[in-house]
Amino acid sequence: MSQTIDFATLEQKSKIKNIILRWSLYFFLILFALYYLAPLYVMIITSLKSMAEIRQGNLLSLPKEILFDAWKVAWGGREYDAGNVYLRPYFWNSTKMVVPAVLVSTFLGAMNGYVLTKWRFKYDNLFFLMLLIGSFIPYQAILLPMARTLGTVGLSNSVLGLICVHSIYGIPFTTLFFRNYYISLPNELVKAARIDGAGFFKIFFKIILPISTPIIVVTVIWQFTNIWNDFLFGSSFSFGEAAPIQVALNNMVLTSTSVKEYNVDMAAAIIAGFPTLVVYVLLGKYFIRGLTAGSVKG
Amino acid sequence: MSTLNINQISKKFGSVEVLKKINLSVDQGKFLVLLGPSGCGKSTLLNIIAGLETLDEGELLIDDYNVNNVEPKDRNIAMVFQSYALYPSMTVRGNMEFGLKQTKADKKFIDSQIKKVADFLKVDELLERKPSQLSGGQRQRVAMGRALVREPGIFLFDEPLSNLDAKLRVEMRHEIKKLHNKLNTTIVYVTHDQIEAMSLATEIAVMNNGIIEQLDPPQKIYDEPNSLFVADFVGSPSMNLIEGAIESNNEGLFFYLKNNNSFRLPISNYNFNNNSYDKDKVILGIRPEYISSREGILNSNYETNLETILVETTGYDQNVKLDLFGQEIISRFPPNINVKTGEKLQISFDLSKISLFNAIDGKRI
Amino acid sequence: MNWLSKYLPKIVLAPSFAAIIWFVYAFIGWTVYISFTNSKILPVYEFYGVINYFKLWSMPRWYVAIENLFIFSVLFLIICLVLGILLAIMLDQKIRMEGALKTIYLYPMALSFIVTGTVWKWMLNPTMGIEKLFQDWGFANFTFDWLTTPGLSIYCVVIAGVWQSSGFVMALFLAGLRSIDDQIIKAAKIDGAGIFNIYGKIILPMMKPVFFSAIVILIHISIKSYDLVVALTAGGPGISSDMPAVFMTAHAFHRSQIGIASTSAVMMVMAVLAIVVPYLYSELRKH
Repeated sequence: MSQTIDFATLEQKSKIKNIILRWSLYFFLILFALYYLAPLYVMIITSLKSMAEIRQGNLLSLPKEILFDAWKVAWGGREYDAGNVYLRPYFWNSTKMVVPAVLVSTFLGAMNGYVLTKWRFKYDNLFFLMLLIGSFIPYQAILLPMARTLGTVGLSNSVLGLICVHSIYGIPFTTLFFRNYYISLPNELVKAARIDGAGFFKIFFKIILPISTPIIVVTVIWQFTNIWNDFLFGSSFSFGEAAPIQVALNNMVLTSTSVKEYNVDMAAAIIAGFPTLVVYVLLGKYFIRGLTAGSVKG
Repeated sequence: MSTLNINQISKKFGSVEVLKKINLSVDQGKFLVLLGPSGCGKSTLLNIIAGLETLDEGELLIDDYNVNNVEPKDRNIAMVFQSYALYPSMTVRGNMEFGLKQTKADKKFIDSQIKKVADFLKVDELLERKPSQLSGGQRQRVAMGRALVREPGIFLFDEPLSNLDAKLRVEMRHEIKKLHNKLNTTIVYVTHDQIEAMSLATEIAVMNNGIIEQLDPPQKIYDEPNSLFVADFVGSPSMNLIEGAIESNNEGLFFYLKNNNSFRLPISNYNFNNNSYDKDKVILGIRPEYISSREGILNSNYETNLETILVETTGYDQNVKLDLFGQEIISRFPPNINVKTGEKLQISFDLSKISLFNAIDGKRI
Repeated sequence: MNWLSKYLPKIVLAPSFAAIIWFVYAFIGWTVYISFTNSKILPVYEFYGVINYFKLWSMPRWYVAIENLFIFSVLFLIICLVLGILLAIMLDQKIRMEGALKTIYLYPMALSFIVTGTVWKWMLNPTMGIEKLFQDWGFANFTFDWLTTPGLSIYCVVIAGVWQSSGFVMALFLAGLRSIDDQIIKAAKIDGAGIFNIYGKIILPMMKPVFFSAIVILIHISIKSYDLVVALTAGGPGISSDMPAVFMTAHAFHRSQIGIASTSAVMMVMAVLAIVVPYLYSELRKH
């Protein structure tokens, strides 16, 4: 069957269709970008306005005068306003909490992943499964016993207590990441090293760890982001001075003593969100890898 | 069936010239094979014919219309891929009717087409299965069925047999040949396997580094390669390429080795093209089947004694590697002759099918 | 040497193993046990039967929480999926600004729920937020006070939640789209399928595993929703945007009802297990 094909018209029709599609594609992409960027934009300009301007203008209006006063208040508070929450001490609390917790949970996760993939034994899959389920449970199920335990050992309302909590509950995730990464490393590496006489720890530190950089970055970013952003543990296990930054932010926003100061709220939100945002912008592709690695179980 | 014309087509990827002013034409019903090593540009050319790649320069004509800017779906072509590319979430029937459905063809017509093709390719029992439930050979047949159902003007094949095991490959090769014989379709077929090319093509375009080294029917490519590249690429074991020189005296024309005056092959009957060449830098090409024992040769023009280096048996003959005064050549011996390594044997040469090449540019003299 | 290599791995795992057994499973066990007791401020270990469960399911506030969970989960799930898939497909079209756009769509995930809640609280502010914006643009009678309207505040949680998490769905689907064999798309183009048919009839049906992963994770996120609600609405106005997680914390730490709180926690665990266990089971069976 041979048909006479009108190539000319076909060529015309598809050209036009393609152009329309391309333009609408870019239109929608930009529209959505605006939707996602809008809150960030609003946060920033609101934090730079005076309360008077905020009341006069609206969400999107640019500040007529750029003031950093809100930022100073959000960070350091006011001298004459003792009793109001401000972020500086809690920022440092979070820092003191995040660094050890990330290091401990990442290191343990790496060790666990190494054992589970290169030193297999009976029931090791069962162990991994139990670990995995541990990462799914809603933490509401352990809040009460953990609160009591921390109280019993004298760690309630302390940064050290939070470090312990985050380290423990980070283990399932970090183990998952490392295990999935190490499983694709050839077992021959370890076998060859054993024949060469190297032992368990030597193989880990001299052979496996040096080639683990990508997954270490992914895990550290993931843990850093989750622990810095935590609110549940922070608000359940600490109340005053040991509180992490997200708890402080929430308290600051909720306490409405006299007048609500939206510019201070926004500045505080930016300060609280800044570290994880910076990490994301600089190391975004590792962030994405962490997201997709954690969900594609295999 | 459609005709295809490729005029001066060039294509670059970044700074790499992948196709350099290619010229080609395929008449109705012809089976053209694009043969070459990886990276020679054959797949790129096929993709350009399909409209899946754009060309930088030149024209592509289907049925004499310039289709440079026409979408793949409007070119009336069909393609069979190396990985079969069947739609995993559809049944075999779904895969085969997908293309027709896009043209909003009548349901009755679609069903009758599918029945026709499924019977022809013997996949009628598999119509309700999903690709994951099929074997490699079945998948390949469904892929062909998907192409056949649309009755296109040109069939394109992109290394369709590379993923199959050796036995299946031979079977499917025969299927494709039968298809061509029965339907007389215009086909452009890409492969790096010269046996496939030789057995399927009406014409082979041997490609290397973005150009066509030779465009001829299979037997001509085999007997009269245009260049060292073609001579070496086609034929297994490859053609023997002997370095030497040509001398002309009152007894005629001779090819001799530079380090041994005793070996002189008479080449007066050779059909020279009018190429200029340096008489001292010549390469003589002769296929292993034209070097053998007295009994193994139809037509002996020259005989000498040579030492055997290595013997390999294939079952139906023996490949015997010989020492030709410092150069190694391969000869073919019948299986029943006992050949030992290190022996000196009497070797006969059939010079009716030799090729001479210019050692400097590799072209046929 | 051999003795070590046999026992050392298990010794190395032991601390983590012990930690998980104790801090996860034992703790959950404790919580389950307490749900069967009449504990108020302090835990009481006398067995109280299943009375708490009846109590829980007769509390109006719990019903509000459960209803909100459904509303939130369904809307959150559907909108995130649609938005995420749409964005992924659009980004798959070889765009020039792909890297930048990906960063923009995904950055909300780097922020904490508290930050998200704080920002959206301001944006959804009845008198000075979006309402004022539209009024300034000329829609004089525009009102948008969902945040302070009981019954509507939960939808604000949806808006903020979608903003935060849809980028994640996009990332998942984009990775899936990119893993599809190129030749299948070429075959579809030659078969004459337009771009919509290629995605609708061929590519998306191939994405079933990604769909399942995304759905499981999204439902998981919504069951655990706590931070976002606290920051955005504090469960309010009143208790109208309460969710199970907020309910639990309120009863555990502020209302001195440890027994009831534990019961609600057990319900949450069961809900999560109901979704996750079948999913994990089917995943593991494949390998």
